Amino acid sequence: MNTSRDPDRLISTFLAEGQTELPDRAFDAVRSEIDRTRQRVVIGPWRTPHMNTLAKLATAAAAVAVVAIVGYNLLPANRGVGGGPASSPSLSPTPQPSPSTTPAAAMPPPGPLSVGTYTIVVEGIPASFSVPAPGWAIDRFGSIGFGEGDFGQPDSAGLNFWQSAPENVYADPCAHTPLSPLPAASAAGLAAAAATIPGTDLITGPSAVTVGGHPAQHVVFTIREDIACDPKEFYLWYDESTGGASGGWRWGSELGSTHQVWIIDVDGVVVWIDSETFKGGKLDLDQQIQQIVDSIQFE
Amino acid sequence: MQRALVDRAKRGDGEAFDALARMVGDRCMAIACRILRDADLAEDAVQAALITAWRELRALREPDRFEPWLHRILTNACYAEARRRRRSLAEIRVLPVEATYGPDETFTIHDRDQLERAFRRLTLEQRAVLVFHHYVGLPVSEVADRLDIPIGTVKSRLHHATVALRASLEADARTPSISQERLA
Repeated sequence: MNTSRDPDRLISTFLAEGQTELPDRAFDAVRSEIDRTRQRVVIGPWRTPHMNTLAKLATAAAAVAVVAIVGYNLLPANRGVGGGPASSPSLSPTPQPSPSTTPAAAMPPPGPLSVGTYTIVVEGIPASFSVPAPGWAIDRFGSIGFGEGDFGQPDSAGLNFWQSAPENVYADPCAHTPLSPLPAASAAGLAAAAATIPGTDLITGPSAVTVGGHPAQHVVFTIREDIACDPKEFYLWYDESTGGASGGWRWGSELGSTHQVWIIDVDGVVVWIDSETFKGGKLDLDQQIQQIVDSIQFE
Repeated sequence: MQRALVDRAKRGDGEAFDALARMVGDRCMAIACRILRDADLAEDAVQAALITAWRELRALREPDRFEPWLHRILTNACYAEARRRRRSLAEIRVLPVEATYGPDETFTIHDRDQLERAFRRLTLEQRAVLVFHHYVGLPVSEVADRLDIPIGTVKSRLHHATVALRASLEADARTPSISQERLA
């Protein structure tokens, strides 16, 4: 052997050898399997852009904060019909008075929500809500969803309690251009902004309603079918305080999906709740969502 | 076109995913074959990776990065397949050789055998780094991104793997002279 030969070239030549075609039987097997395999649900308003490693680390830290902030501190408060929430994902005994300092470990593990009442902490305010029917679950981001395995499909839904309320909407949802100047940081100001996001069709609102005995604004709209981008790239509103530029934001999951927003003024603190349901569903999930919202109590 | 198929597949379109799989499957097979050095294991790993990709596709945030994302899944599938069938690995078959030795006439069958033996002694993680760097042609930073490991780890694995392979070639080069000395 001539040792003057380039070993790297030999290694590359060695690696160039070998099979390069996947047999048809493998493609057929994959096709057969995907026909039987449901895609995993991804629920939640959070989005992480592609970043370098350093930014990933920064965002990982931010994500811990987001988890802590969104931090549903679920605690079964009342065993409702249909079996108590014994399998509730969280058995944390005490609500955290200051979610911004709540360690990530306080976040309950994802899992199904049994019918019953749960205490939570939102914007640092102890609160509770009730799950009216089976089928709801909490995901790893702290979002509440219906239709595990089928999020985005007709009979599925998502519901989010934002601990730190979004402070702005997107003036150009496809280009991700925020509205400028910022809307007034009040329930009315934010609801007015949410009701006028381009690419959406307003159904109702802003309407003055009451949630948990507090004044609130309610907006309902759908994502238009003719938006100029993928609905997952169609950004609605965001909260920078939960992680700076990598903070949480909400996008439209599917064309034609219905979004509801409740912006509640709890003694001067803005609490933001939003939901999404999808066209063509047979279950009246909007009604169940309304039942959940109607059940909310602030302490 | 790939982006459009990814978008459709993310919406649950099985036909689109099938087309996508046929678009990227051969490349996945080539990578898996080179990491695992066994066509049957590689085929199983690719199948597993494609099924995982289908199941997890909605979590893919950047549709344009489908292939790098899939390659990470594939690499993990290769690791899992090798570990699951470790006993089979002990009886690994020699890869069917489809390429000729033509591109580099100095690359002898003996070289190949030496490299094959040395390559099999590498860890799967070292093999993966070698394959993505030398075969796929990615720079170190992209290998790190694709395998989701630090650049320093890529460099370290690449260094140790390359040293091992070079050593196998150099040992091969020394063998004749040693024999001659013994003969002398």
